[in-house]
Amino acid sequence: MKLQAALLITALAAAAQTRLPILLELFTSEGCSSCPSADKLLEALDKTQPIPGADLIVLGEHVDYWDGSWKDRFSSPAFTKRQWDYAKYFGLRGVYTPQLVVDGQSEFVGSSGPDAKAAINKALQNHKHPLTLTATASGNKLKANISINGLGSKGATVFIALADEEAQSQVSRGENAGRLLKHIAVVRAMQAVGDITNTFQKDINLSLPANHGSLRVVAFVQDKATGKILAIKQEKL
Amino acid sequence: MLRLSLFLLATRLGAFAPNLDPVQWKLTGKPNQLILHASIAEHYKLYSLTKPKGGPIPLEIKVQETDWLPKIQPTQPNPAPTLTGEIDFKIPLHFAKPIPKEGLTLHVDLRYQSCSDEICLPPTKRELELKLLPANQVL
Repeated sequence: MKLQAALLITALAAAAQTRLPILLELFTSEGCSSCPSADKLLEALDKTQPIPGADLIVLGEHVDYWDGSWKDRFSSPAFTKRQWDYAKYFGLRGVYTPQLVVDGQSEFVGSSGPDAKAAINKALQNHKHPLTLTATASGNKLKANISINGLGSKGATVFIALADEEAQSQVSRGENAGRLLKHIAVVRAMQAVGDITNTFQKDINLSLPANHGSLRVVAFVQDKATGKILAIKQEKL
Repeated sequence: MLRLSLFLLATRLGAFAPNLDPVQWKLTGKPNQLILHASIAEHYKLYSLTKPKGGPIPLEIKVQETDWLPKIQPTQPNPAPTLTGEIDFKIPLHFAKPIPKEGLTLHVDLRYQSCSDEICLPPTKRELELKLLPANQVL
């Protein structure tokens, strides 16, 4: 019995180590009435990690085109641009919220659990390249190091994102007026830190966002031609 | 497996493929009146001319005013803040002088926002135009 338990523990530990990291990006807004249900799904995916073999790394990216009546304090035109970049990758005529993008390869309505399950299972079929990320915060500065070897890409971009572990807003105007909206992994900053074809090694110094809480630091590599996520790693501070 | 089942049960059962162009517009001319027809796709709603401030933007219909048509005020058939299905907006034409023989081109600019039960689309702009002929005018 002891041997069986030991084998089970070993098997579980091995399974945990071999979980494939998969990036889930939710394009959302506090001004969009359809978005709170997608925020809840993102939180459930993050906290329950329901797909065997998948290590789901989630990011909430708040677009700014709903800011007319309620200014979403997490919104940025950079996330709207990133969503339009995805529209081009996917051949879409436009953008919408909530939209969930899985590993840069699948997109669908962000509140759809079945679509999320299918897209994550599809992403599990792909290989991810190892990426080393270290990150430490001191004062209002973040020091990070990203290292990748032997990627063998024709051209990819290395990104780093800083996200608040959790956030919430009491909305007083717009279609969500009166609602307390809760978010997870709200991206406060995202930037490209360099290009890579094979090897990448870089120290990065970033200013931490104002009024941040516990942070997640996510580094990922995205293929320039297809938008596919080739490598990803997350550290929590 | 239990986690997975609970996760799936906690979300809705399926999604419609997003229609990213759910409102189709058609502009037609009648004597002393334009009809702006909106065909709104199933499951979608259009925020109307009368939608109160706050949230998505209300529909804007701007008809370029000219010496012939110095004041133009579109109307919608009912005061609902959101509209679905097939809708005709009436645009009365009060001519200040006769239409020239070669006709008169009217430019109509639309700005609107629409949502379904599941998604919302950003503000959208459309430009329409229609050539009015003297036959469209009853002085």
